[in-house]
Amino acid sequence: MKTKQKPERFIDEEGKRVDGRRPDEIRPIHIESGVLNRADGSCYIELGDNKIMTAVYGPREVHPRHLAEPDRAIVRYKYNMASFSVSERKRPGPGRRDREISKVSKEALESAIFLEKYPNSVIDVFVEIIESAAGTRATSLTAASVACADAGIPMRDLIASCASGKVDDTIVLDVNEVEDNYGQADLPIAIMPKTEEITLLQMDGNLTRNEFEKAIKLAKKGCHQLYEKQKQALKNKYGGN
Amino acid sequence: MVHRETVIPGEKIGKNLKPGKNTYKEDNNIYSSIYGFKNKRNDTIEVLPIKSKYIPKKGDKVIGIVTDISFNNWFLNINSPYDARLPVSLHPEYIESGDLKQHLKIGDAAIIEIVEVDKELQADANMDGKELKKITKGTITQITPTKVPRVIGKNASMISMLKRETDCQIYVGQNGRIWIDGEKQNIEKVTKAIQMIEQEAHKSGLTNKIKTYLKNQK
Repeated sequence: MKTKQKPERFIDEEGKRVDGRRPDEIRPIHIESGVLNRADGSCYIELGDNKIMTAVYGPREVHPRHLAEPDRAIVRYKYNMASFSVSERKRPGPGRRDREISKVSKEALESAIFLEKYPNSVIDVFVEIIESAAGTRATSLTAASVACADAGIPMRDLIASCASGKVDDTIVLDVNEVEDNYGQADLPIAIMPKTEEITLLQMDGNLTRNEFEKAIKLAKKGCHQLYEKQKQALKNKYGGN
Repeated sequence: MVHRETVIPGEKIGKNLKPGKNTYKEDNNIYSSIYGFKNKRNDTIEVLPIKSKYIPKKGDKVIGIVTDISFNNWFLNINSPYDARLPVSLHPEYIESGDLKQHLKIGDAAIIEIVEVDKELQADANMDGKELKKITKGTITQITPTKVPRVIGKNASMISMLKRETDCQIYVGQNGRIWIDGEKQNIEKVTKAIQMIEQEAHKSGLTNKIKTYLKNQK
């Protein structure tokens, strides 16, 4: 992405980042569940400039049949970026990156679902990135788990996912676009908030051991903040409490 | 109906209680496994789902739609991830081999009873019995199976009210498919009322609300 220039400094004298956040703050977030009529479960999420729509269908019959597992349900996760979602037009269709994200996200989501309750069936998860501004894989997982809950799929816990990173030798939470592009490291994780079990962990860049531990801790903190929003989004729908 | 608390998957809903439907237990704590409403009965705690897919259960009477025909079976879609298999022998009429299409063709609907469900949730169905038959007229609408009890109501209060007010024949399958037969505008009325019930299933005083709604429609 060439439109956004590398800033001279990522963190100013007051300790604020390029978008005015403190190092341990997440971007403003909005979650809404059940937005699509035809899907079994759906969720729309906005995290900063990221705009993502997810739809869940199922459990339903598996086609093609040979993919079915006789003792459990399978999950199909399709991460798709719209060609207009990034500042330089992306070639439509799945590329190397989309396949990788779909695979790791699928595995992250699978670990929260009670798959054995629906043998011989499939849970289809579709993620459409409408606008992208760093951290879409984590944000889509957050949305996908809300959509799964909305579809009435039995799960151990929701999945909350958030990235932390390193810019100007400081560990920051929820990296934004410029920090992602020109920063030193980026560490997306996904957790089940109840037990803090990690279901996704990736890293791009270099971190020392101490920094890594600090980054994980910070990312977990972000995940818990997201979890509260997920909870609210689902609970407020039926009168709240 | 009392106000019920909404719970989400993984939320702790109780301690030292018996885990009921849609819950799981870990070190004496009980957690919800789905998105739904918390419901406590005596010392059992369960979660009532908001939406769900129909899972075939022995003894359920459901409305199925024929999707496939084999040499001696029909396969019916029962609004579930799993199809129901209806063997020729359990059709009420005598059928010559190779004559299956004469009785039920693809797209036909029938009220069937689930007689057996195996480990892989493949269901076997029966069409020989009271109330069980092929559907030849009327329309079918669909709701999420968890709201079936709401459409029927306590002691069938809702369903009998619907029948009385609209003069329609209504059959509610356990899988959320509802067969309505009657005059055209009455069918529309019932369909709309059922949609209302589905949307407001979590609210109380629904029977009276639907009743006034139907009265105003006249």
